[in-house]
Amino acid sequence: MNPGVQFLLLAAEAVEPNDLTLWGWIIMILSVGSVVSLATFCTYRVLSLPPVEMEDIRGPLGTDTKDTQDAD
Amino acid sequence: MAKLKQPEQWATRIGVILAVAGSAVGLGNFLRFPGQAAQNGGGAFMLPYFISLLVLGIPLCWAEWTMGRYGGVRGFNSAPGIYSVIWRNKCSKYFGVLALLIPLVIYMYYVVIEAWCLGYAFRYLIGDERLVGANSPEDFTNYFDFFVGKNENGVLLSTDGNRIFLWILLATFALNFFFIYRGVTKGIEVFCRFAMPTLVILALIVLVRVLTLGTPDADKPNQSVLGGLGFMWNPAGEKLWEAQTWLAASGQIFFSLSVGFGIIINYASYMRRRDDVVLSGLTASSMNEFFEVCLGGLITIPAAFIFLGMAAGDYGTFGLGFNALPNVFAQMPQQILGIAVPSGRIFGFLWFFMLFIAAITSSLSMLQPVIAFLEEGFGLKRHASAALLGLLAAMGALFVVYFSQGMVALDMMDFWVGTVFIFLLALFQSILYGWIFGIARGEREAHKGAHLRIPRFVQYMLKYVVPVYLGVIFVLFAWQTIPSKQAAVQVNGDQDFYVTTALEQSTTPALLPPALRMELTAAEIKADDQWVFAVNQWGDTWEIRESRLTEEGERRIGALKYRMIQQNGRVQLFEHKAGYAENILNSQVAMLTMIFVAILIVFLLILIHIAGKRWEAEGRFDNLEGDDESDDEEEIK
Repeated sequence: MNPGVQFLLLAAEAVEPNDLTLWGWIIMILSVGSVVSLATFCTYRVLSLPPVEMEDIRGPLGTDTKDTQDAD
Repeated sequence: MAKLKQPEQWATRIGVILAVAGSAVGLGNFLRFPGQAAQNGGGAFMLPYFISLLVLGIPLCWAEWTMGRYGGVRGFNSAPGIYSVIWRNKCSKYFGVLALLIPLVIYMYYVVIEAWCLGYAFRYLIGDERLVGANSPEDFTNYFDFFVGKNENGVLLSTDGNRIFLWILLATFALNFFFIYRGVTKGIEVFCRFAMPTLVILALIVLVRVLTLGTPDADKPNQSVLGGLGFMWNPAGEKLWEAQTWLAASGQIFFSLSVGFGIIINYASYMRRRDDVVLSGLTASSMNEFFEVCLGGLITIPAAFIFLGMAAGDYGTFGLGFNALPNVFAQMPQQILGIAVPSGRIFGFLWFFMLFIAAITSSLSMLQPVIAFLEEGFGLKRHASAALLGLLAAMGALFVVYFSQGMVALDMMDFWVGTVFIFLLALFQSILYGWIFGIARGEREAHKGAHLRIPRFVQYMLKYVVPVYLGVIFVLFAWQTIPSKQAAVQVNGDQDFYVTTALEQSTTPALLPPALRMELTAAEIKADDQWVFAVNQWGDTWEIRESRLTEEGERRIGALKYRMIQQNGRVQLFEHKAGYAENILNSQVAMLTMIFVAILIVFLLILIHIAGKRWEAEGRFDNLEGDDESDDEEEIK
């Protein structure tokens, strides 16, 4: 039997009934890993922008609504 | 070339990331997501969740940013105005009612939940014995019910109830309006610079504590960290074949990313022609996912499971945050290395303060869409708009606080406005973008000033896949939740219910006779003391209903619980699951809530109509036709 498959089968048998199963581990690592990768990619792209272009990036709460100077 | 902004406006590059993340993080990340995942297949939930994120969430988010900026550079910041710019039709502005109603109504109950978080943080800080000293799940449930006035309408306003909550709500409300009154840039950006790192640090502290809990009770070896993670992440594959799992996943994505809320389209309208919308939108979404999957997914359910076992899955969104986790904090060690440390109290405070910070960054963004509409529709200044909105929001929040029994008002608002209307607005916006704005123009607009390219297939997905996917999900969702349903109850394996007493032909509701109660008990149904039953006029169906005695001694008959139907000489028992349509008819508070929402809709429609007339009279749509060409010429130069 392929050693990789053998390892997976052994790992699946070794867990307690309620413990994190092999599929649980895979899904958790893939989910957390993909989200961390996406967030890291975005953060890297934002931080590597030239300073002038940094001001092009904003979220809702960082937006200037331009109505605060003459608010009364 | 754009000028550099003043240093105090964007002090550091990290400040940009923090501000973007601040908008994205909310209660949905820490409470709603773990609850939804655990109830819908654990790890199996993640497949529809990520498909919804990639097919619906991020593409719709980009579409909203693009349309918002397009409307903004043409002079409109409110959804009714932006829709009118994109779709030159007299009806288009009226669809904007959803984009105003959704953030306004969600704010009305969201601020109340935010005040619960602040109240619990305060109680942990001062060491309230009812919270810190409680030691059974019932104690925490009773405390929560007392705290939110769940047992009786109006109790929070009476001397019998938790009146201090009103002061906490007032403080929360005042804090929100302080920031919104001062203006978004001045108030919220400063707040986010402090709040976001605080939130990350607090979440990481709680996460590290949860992941190092080991197996606190040696008598329950399964209730360990690995068991908790398994409960959250092990896939229940059969759940993938249930429509409910897919509905819950897409609903969670909408709620979490604020897609279809009317918020993104409003904020995007303040961006300049060459500001980036693609990388900004993706960064906000990715930050939200980080808080949701990496922090929310690893903290809440595993922590609850370690101390409560399989019962953790029975707690809903509020149950997890306000009942299950206080149980967890209560069971944390009081001594570390022989030194007395009130760790439960400390973690309780940290947890609820973190929830409060997450909530306030979201609630602040809910106020701007209506302020923008009042400003551009009626020429009001910011402070006047904020004051008027404050009045409206306070009325709604007091409505939720007063009708606190069973949290019916909150639940109705959350279902109809916070779920159904969000689906409808997202569906409208996907059609608006794909079929009216056009994907060719959409792609061109999105990439103006963009620091990242959107793959071409996303545009086709927005035109063809997203509306169909949303439509199918919406129909399934409505089918599952709005009409009432009946489910046969298994009795002795053959679904028969041998009710001798039920053969009494009384059409007047009477308390359940002991023999019937025994049969219900045999079927593992815990009958309430006040349940009544009666036969229908044809003598073939018996109904078991809730009832209660009023103070005057009059018996009020309530919701239908079970039906027994006689067919072909056999009696079968069916559990009645009331849908949201029946809930409205059965509950005066639910009906009042719907009337309240309907009045708001009519009020907003009238305002939109008047604003539309003003815009037409001012000729604000006259010179919009040639704008696209002039934009393109400018790009070529």
